Amino acid sequence: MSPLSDADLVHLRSVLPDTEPRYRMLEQIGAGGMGVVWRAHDTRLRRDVALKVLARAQPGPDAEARLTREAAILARLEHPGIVPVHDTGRLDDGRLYYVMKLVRGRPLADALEPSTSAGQRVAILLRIAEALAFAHKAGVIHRDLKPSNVMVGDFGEVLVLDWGVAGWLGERTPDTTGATPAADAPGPTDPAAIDSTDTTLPAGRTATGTILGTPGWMSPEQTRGLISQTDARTDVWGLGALLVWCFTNEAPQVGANGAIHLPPKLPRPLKSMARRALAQDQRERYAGTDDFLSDLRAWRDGDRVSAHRESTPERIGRFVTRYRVPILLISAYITARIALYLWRRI
Amino acid sequence: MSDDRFPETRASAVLAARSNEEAARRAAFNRIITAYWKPVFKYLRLRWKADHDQAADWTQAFFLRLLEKEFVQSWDPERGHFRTWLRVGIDGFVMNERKAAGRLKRGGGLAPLSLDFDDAERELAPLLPVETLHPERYFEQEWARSLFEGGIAALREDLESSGRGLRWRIFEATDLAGGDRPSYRELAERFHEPETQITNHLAAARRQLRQILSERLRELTGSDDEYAFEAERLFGTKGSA
Repeated sequence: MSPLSDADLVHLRSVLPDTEPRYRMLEQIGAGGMGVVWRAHDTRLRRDVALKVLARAQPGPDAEARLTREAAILARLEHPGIVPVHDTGRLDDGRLYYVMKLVRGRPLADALEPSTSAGQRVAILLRIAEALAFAHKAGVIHRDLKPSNVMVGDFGEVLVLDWGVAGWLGERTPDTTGATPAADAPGPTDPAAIDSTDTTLPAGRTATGTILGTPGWMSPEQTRGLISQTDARTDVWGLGALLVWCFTNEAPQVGANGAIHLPPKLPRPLKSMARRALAQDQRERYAGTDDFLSDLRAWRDGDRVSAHRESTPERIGRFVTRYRVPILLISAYITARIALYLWRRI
Repeated sequence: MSDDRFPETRASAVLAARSNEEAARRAAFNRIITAYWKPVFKYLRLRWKADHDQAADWTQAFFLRLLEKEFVQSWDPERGHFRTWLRVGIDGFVMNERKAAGRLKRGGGLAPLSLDFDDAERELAPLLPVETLHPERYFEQEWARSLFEGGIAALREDLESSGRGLRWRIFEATDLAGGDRPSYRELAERFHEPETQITNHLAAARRQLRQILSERLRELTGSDDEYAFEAERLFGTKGSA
């Protein structure tokens, strides 16, 4: 190439746009079928963010509509348990992106250790369920709850991630009946599975023959392709699955007859909760996340869990556990009075 | 650019040049020398009035000296900009070389760098002889020219390899046309495209060039403040770092 003349150098220095790229890409931190997530630096606000951009191999208006919709859903959900969206835009090559808070922490799988108490596990579940309850009140369902979509932050915050297949409650979306997961479908922790659906197209537009969610973590209605039937109870199923996973490190095992095999180490009231949340028939599940939350809080506080029919020993045990301090005080008082009485008699 | 690399951000080469890892230091050195060897050669020719062979010899020796870890570590990013440090370093280097002339053979035992000094000499010819040159300003201008030339070459390679040759040709016909630049209408007729498409292509090419240059500038600076300073010198804006 011939050397750049003075005239061209002066010209170029004057015509190049003075807009610096707002975001500098630092490293790729995730990838799915639809998009790529980068850790990026916001040069204006001088902070690191997460930037999700459409993959180059996935151009077209449908992909853009999905990403736009995902960003719009997230933008509506301002909650401590949901990653906030900061910005949207296009890269110089025209690809659409949206920017969200960079979550620093560990995936749920790494946050739970063998020494983590049942109370701590339930505390995390409560935070997840609270975020979901908020989303449901805002008219949004997640539809892809699984451990890899939950992050526990450095300061103990719990965040529900990846709303890529989320939908609006009451939205009329055609079913994809007959579209069953392929035998070689991605596993529960495969990030590509997050985008393995085309059912998050704008309302009324759905690509048939695709699946919604992640195999192994999908509710029965999702597995059957009955997307129009997905509602808040679909996320209740997901919460039930997470409940089982939090105590067993395994996804719920569904038998041929649809029965859920629950591990013996799960406390009985929680087992009853899981059984109700994971019911095949949506009508038999909790009616909404609030009901699930109520039971979870009840278990945490030593109250009666609505999904569990207690035996008498269980009721006594729960009573003793809950009121152990006053019971101990009263017992000590009675013992002292008896001792005093006997001493005076002597 | 491949999907995975775009849009990439490379680490600061001037900081990597101070690394303890030999491989990282050499890779950084290659990036620095690509941007600086021509300005250094021309600076030696004009500021120090070295003849072609001497300037070539000193350029080789200076960059080989730069490769030594201790030498680069004498640059403190907190105390000064790399470009200024480099130019001052050249002056010190030449003075030392002149003192040592006759005692040492320059670059003895070191493999020479592959640099096309004849090409740089041809670029220099229109300026010679120069008596009223401001050395610092000239070094900065040649550094900017070198950066732009590298950026334009990268832009061309990317556009042509990605099937966007038309965009490159429109950019070349407009922004690399020398003094007499064609109008949008003339370009539209020449390339059989609507004027709106011409302006779109041109805007996109300029934006991409700016991005490439910004990335390269980041490589050649050691901090956000230094980048902002150099961006202002190069583009007339502070950038947003």
